[in-house]
Amino acid sequence: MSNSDWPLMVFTLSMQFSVGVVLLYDLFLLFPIALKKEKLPLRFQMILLVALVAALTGVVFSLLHPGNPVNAMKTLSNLNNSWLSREILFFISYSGMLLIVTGLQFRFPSAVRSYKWLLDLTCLTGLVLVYVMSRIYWLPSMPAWDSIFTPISFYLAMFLSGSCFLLLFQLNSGSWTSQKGLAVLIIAIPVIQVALLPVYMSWLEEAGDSARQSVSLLLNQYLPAFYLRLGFEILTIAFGFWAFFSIRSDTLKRRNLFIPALLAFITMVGALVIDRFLFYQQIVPIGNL
Amino acid sequence: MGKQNRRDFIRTSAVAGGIALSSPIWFPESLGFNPGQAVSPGLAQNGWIKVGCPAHNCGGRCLLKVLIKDGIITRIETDDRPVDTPADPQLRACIRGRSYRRRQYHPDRLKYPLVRTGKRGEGKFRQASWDEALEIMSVEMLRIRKKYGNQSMFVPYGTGSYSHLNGRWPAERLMNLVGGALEYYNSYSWACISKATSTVYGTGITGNQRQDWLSSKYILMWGWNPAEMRDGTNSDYFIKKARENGARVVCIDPRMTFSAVSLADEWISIRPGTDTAMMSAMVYVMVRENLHDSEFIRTHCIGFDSTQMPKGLENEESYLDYLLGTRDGQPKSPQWAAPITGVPSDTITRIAREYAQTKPAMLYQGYGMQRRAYGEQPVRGGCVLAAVTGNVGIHGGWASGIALQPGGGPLWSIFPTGTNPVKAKIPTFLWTEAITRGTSLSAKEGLTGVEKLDSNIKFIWSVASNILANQHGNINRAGRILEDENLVEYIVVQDQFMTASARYADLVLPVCTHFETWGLEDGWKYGEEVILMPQVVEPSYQTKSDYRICAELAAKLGVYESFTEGLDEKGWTRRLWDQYRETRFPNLPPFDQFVESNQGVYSVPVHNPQISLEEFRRDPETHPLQTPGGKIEIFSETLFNLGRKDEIPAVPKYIQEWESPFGPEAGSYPLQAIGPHYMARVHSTHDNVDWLKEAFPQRVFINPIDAKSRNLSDGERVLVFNDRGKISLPCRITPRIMPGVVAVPQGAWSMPGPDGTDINGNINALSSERWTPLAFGNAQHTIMVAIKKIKP
Amino acid sequence: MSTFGFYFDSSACSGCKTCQVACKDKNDLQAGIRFRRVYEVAGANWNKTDEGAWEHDIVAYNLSIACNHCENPSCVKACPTTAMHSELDGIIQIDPKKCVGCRYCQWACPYGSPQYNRQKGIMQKCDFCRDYILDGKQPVCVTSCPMRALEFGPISQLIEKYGDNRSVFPLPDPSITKPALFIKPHPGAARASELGGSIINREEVKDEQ
Ligand SMILES: Nc1nc2c(c(=O)[nH]1)N[C@H]1C(S)=C(S)[C@@H](COP(=O)(O)OP(=O)(O)OC[C@H]3O[C@@H](n4cnc5c(=O)[nH]c(N)nc54)[C@H](O)[C@@H]3O)O[C@H]1N2
Ligand SMILES: Nc1nc2c(c(=O)[nH]1)N[C@H]1C(S)=C(S)[C@@H](COP(=O)(O)OP(=O)(O)OC[C@H]3O[C@@H](n4cnc5c(=O)[nH]c(N)nc54)[C@H](O)[C@@H]3O)O[C@H]1N2
Ligand code: SF4
Ligand code: SF4
Ligand code: SF4
Ligand code: SF4
Ligand code: SF4
Ligand SMILES: [Mo]
Repeated sequence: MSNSDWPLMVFTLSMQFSVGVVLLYDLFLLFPIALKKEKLPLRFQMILLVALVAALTGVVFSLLHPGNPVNAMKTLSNLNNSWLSREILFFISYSGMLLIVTGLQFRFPSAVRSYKWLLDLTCLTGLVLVYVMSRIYWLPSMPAWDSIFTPISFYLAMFLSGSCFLLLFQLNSGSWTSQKGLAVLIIAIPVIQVALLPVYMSWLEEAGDSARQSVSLLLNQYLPAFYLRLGFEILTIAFGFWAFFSIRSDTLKRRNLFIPALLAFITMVGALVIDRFLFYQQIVPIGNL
Repeated sequence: MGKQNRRDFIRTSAVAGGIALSSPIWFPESLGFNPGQAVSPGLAQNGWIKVGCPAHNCGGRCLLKVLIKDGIITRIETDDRPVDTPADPQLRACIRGRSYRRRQYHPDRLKYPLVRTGKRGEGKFRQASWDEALEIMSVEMLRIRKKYGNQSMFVPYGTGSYSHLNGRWPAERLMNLVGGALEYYNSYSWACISKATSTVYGTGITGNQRQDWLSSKYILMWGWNPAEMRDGTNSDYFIKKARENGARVVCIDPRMTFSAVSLADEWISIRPGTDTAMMSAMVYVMVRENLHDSEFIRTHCIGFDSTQMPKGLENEESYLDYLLGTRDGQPKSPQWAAPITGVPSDTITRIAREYAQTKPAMLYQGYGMQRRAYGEQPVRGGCVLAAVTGNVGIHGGWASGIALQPGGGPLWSIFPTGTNPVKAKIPTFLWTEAITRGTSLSAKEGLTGVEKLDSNIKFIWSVASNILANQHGNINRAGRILEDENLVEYIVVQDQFMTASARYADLVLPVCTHFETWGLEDGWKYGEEVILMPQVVEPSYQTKSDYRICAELAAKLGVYESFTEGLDEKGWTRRLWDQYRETRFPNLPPFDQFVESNQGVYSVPVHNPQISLEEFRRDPETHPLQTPGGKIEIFSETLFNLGRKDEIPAVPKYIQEWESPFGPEAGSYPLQAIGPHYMARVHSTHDNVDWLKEAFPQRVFINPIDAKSRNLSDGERVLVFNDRGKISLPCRITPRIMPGVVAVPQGAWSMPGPDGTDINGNINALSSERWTPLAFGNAQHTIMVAIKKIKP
Repeated sequence: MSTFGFYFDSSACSGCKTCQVACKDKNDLQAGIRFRRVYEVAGANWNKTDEGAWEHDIVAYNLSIACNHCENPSCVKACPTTAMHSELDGIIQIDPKKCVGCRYCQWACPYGSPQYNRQKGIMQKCDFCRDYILDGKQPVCVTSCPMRALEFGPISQLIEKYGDNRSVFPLPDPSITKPALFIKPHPGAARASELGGSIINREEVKDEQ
């Protein structure tokens, strides 16, 4: 991995995390609350703050990526064609909206319903952002990235990191149903990820010489990392199950959730970081055998 | 054209060229290079000037066009004469000429004279003024001359400059004016091929003019790599043209060279040092299938079979006897040759048929195979192949051997060096012996001119040479000899960089580049042109031209007038130019007119290429060869009379080399290592140029099979070693070299690390000082090595 | 629409890299930046015969590649700043004032043409020696080639003279960007893929990160 890919890796992961958190917060926590017209628990404000911090981390790293801040404006010049231009547009919009919603939530914690539409819009923008982000990599010149697997993996990363965080965050609060829901995601997404691996690899095998080189990179030079990632994912699934069965409607027992949720979070981070590391490592540009 | 006109010319050509005369951003100031000189009048023009590429021993001679801006060369282009035909092709520069700015403006250029302060070889020096430096030098010269005589003084082989009045030639002239110096004969390049070719043909002029290649139908490039090893500018291009005319080209080399890739239809991988075995087997096939030209052999050759043996030697082993194994019981069949050469017997048979049956055919031998143990044999073998197929003295044919051009060819250097009062000569390669045991050398070691030397070498003045500690065989040994101040008492090195050899100097003299002085050059082996080398920029720092240094030293020695004859560099260039007008090129424009025209090169188109040995072919009786029998000597009476048939047989034979994969040495050192001439360098010159290092880094090239058995991965640093030394460098795994052979391009700057391991990969840390039996030539390509991982 | 193109005779290219360095000289490029790169492709099986000789079926050849000034340039589409742009004459150029050095064009170009200049923080690339072309001269690399393996001209002329072959192993499918590069493949190129051929001088062409 070249030096310039590290900031990119942090950027994509933290943005996906941020969007995941906001989206799941909206769906799993706010939505039921809004339905029931309940008051927003104060500590829930922290969730958006975390998402915001993640997005701002993204800002910092993104600055390392297209040079200096003055350049940001220049990078919006080619919205017609350039996915990078679009990424920057959506990135700015998303972060801006998130900043506003977070601010509103801190200023008017009880009036969530009145600006929930903005949060919904932020989620939507975030979803588009993740897609646009993935399109940057969806390039004919990089066969290992050049497929639907790229957006799929970005979205899966988004959902997984979001759910792991939310489960960890609302150990003692939130409804047990939403907790169960999150735990299901923590189990299901890594299962999908693991299941997709052979599909992806066999697709790569068929996608030309450079793509085949990528497979052989993964299976030779990066085999340890590859296995490590697989190991982490399987652990996440296991901890997901553990968490699932620890969740009771009986609030008193919820403390037991902390350990599996934390472990799931840690293994999830491990898996995602390695996954993204390999994502950048595995590329063999087309024609560069 | 007057001065004004010339300036206008340059200006308009600059405008026509659309050059933005803006200063480059990083170059050369950012490298710490500061010429720091006012631009002299006459050089003040900004614009394009045509100038010969610095005349190193690079294998080519090309025209450059340099763009001058405020006394600095800011761009280098090449010959763009509008007509580019085989008769008169453009002299397009190679990668080394194109990157010359990086050498010219290298921050490490020697800037002022240096006097040694530490131990010899330690590399510690102090700055000195020119006056002090030359004073010290003249005192040392006189002291040593007085004590040991002129035979103790030596200006070694050195090929840094062929611009006639630069390089070692003015030094030779000066030495000759002060009583002479020990001389050498033959060269590091061509010792065996020069000697052996004339044992067959009585001459070295066996080639045709290159345009004649276009009439050939079959070309065997035998160890010849003109696409990388420049062997006359455009030789590769001519082969391309020959193919367009329908020639089939086959390359025989242990490596799939640049030439094998771009010029050949087929590559045959051959084990180094075994060419004579394949050649013998080819003739064997021809004889068996009656494909040889028996008529030509009968009328033009001696010693092919027992019917043609020289008088009195009728019962000796003829060539046919050798081939059929009449005496030694071993027929030299393709089946015999296959395990020796590594070439399948079917392939040998096929190539023999192709070469014998496709007419006319040329077999061009490279010089690498003769820079080897028994290097005389493949040369004689190649000549014999050409003879038995009747390809001698005809259009599209080629007599093999050194193949110098008919009609005189290029003049190399015509700077008048005078006559040497010292008559003693040693073979070039044996200078280390002349240092350690000079007075005990005899004809057995190739000493000529005298029975015995009066003295060992005591004074060395090394000009334009990196032989001492970089280019010689077994430089670790050479270094130990040079280090010893009791052996050579004073060493002067005159160069542009602090080379490995300069590290052993007592005095280092900084020389300007060819761009910074006047000179002229003609072809390298081939070519019908003369190229002017006007001074285009001022000498950098305190550097001076070789000529100027010698002139100033001449003043100290009291021979200034006779040395200079009142001429400066430009004056000498004019005089040498006139000499070309009088000899090689009668229609050459007068010097001043040519300078004004900024034309750079004068060339004579070749429409009817000359053929060597043509008259002999037509009528061998009236035009006999200069051999003892007047004919092509397949069996050489002269060699026979030496009485050393094991090493110097009378007919060309395969002799197992003294370091060989078939010898006991292969146990510890199983790989053959060769040191080809690299695209990135002229020998050691240019090794410090970053653009060239980037394009062609120094690597040991190794076949995947050999890499696998050593568990090497591409790019990994490895140790290459034998009893003489160790080098470490990254490996390049490539199928373009045959298994069992590795290549370490020759000429990398020697850089011994703390434990003596050369960390820049100079193959001469591994090569040997042993010389060939007949020519006293360097056998630097014949070595066995082992390779291992550095990291376990 | 691109108007000019390169013709490259891979069968005659020796891999001498004069073109690469001539270009560096013209553009004052420090080591590590190559507007033109020479790729060495090779593949082979080596086998020892019963006789104790060696047999091989080697193919090896060179590809000298600059920017192909593609008719459908993915670099231009990718560039967020429009620094990478197509001139009216079809020459793809980088405007150094606009370039922010994001290196996205480098990913998008299937030919490894854009070269990052770390010192300046911007991307650089072959501009087809536009100043020379506008002046009626040939690009420097073309006139440098000792083997006369490179040519330059209007696309239509090159196609007429040499046909419309823009592909050779292992270059990408030309349909991706429609490169203005017309290639005479080396005779060995046809077998390179089946021999598992690959670029064997990677360190000499790779982008210095
Ligand atoms: N192992 C191995 N060794 C070999 C060979 C081989 O094939 N294998 N080849 C041999 C052959 S064929 C040859 S010809 C020799 C060549 O060996 P050398 O003749 O020593 O050639 P270079 O190494 O180029 O060294 C020339 C020096 O001259 C300097 N120079 C350049 N221009 C000038 C100038 O104008 N004036 C002065 N004073 N100095 C200048 C350069 O900086 C350089 O240091 O090497 C031989 N050594
Ligand atoms: N680029 C470049 N060109 C040069 C020079 C340079 O330094 N650089 N130097 C110039 C000078 S001074 C000289 S003398 C000439 C030297 O020219 P050569 O001596 O011909 O050059 P080498 O590269 O030593 O050898 C040529 C080929 O012989 C092969 N070879 C080695 N051993 C054997 C063998 O036993 N059998 C066969 N069949 N092939 C063998 C090598 O693989 C190599 O490809 O080059 C000149 N041209
Ligand atoms: S072949 Fe020799 S003269 Fe010609 S450009 Fe190369 S280095 Fe210069
Ligand atoms: S070769 Fe690459 S950089 Fe050049 S125009 Fe095509 S896509 Fe763009
Ligand atoms: S590096 Fe420069 S030219 Fe390339 S995409 Fe980024 S802004 Fe455009
Ligand atoms: S056209 Fe000019 S800029 Fe492009 S590769 Fe050739 S020399 Fe370099
Ligand atoms: S200059 Fe010509 S022969 Fe040499 S690498 Fe470039 S294209 Fe090939
Ligand atoms: Mo030489």
